[in-house]
Amino acid sequence: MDSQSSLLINSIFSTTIWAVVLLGISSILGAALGWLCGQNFVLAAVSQRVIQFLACWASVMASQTFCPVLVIALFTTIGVQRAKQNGNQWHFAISNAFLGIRLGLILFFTITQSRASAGLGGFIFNAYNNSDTAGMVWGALSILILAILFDQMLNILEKYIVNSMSRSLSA
Amino acid sequence: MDKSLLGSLWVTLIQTTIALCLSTAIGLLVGWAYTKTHQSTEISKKVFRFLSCFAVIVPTILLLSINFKIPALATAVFLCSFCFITLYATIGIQSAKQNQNQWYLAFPSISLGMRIGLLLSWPTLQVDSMNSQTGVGFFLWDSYNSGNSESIVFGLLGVMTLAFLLDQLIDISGILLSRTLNPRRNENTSS
Repeated sequence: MDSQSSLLINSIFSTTIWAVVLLGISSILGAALGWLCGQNFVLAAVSQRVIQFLACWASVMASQTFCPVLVIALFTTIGVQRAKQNGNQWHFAISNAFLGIRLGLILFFTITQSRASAGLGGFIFNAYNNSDTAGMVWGALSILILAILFDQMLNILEKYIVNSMSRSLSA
Repeated sequence: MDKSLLGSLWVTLIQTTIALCLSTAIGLLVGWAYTKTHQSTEISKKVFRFLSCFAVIVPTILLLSINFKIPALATAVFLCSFCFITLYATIGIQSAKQNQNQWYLAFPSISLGMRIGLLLSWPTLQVDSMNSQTGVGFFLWDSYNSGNSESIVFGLLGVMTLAFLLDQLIDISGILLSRTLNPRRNENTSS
């Protein structure tokens, strides 16, 4: 195995670990914040605008830490409000929270490429600086495969949670 | 805020709006075409959900095409929003068709797709700074090279405000269109 391949594998490994840790923490924090903001109609309407503005700030600044939290909080707030308006049908809140996590995931991997410091972003920028097109393509393909795998896992988890919720309600 | 920043923001606004309108038009057409039958709708939802993951490689695509001097932010807006708009247009049109062609039900979904696409494209501003000759990306890169930190702060504040206002404009337009086309609301108003 040459040095480029081992560097790519190391980058994939570090990006995967970072994605699991960051998205895990972001999901908990974002869902908690969204849950709190969605409790009241007026609070939800105001906090949606505030969170949206902060999400725009985080997106423009390419903040890998804040962007997923804010996006998850935004969609959870919308979902909780929708669930309350439809007679406490909590599957709306779960689906919206998962949409937020999915978007947080896509934003995380998009911003990864703007981070030249470490992980796959560092690998791609290193390849770019060395005019190594093949390296850039391999880096991008790795990010794409990671994003698809995470997305499919989220899809399965969402279906499982929503199905088990509807089963427990009908029992 | 100096005049060149306003000019750059204006150029970025025009480029972003054109890219978003183009992707919305194509996304709506594709979404419409796929909602002919129930089977094709379900297949297209799965396909475009899968394709929307390709938004993650847009920054590298822009880095690879850096020599072509294309407006990176506008290209990112088009590429990021197309799949999301098509996916949510399909969901919206399907919901409208299932409810006896109540088209007002489709608009919130379509505006959500546009907002998501726009939100996902702002992180590519860094690549836009590297290869653009116009727009706010070029303004930020120029300010960075000349060491003008005040201009960088104002530039970033300008983009944030632009991003927020565009998002809110799309959201409010979706709500207003939906309310205007809602027959129940029209009946209440006339009575």
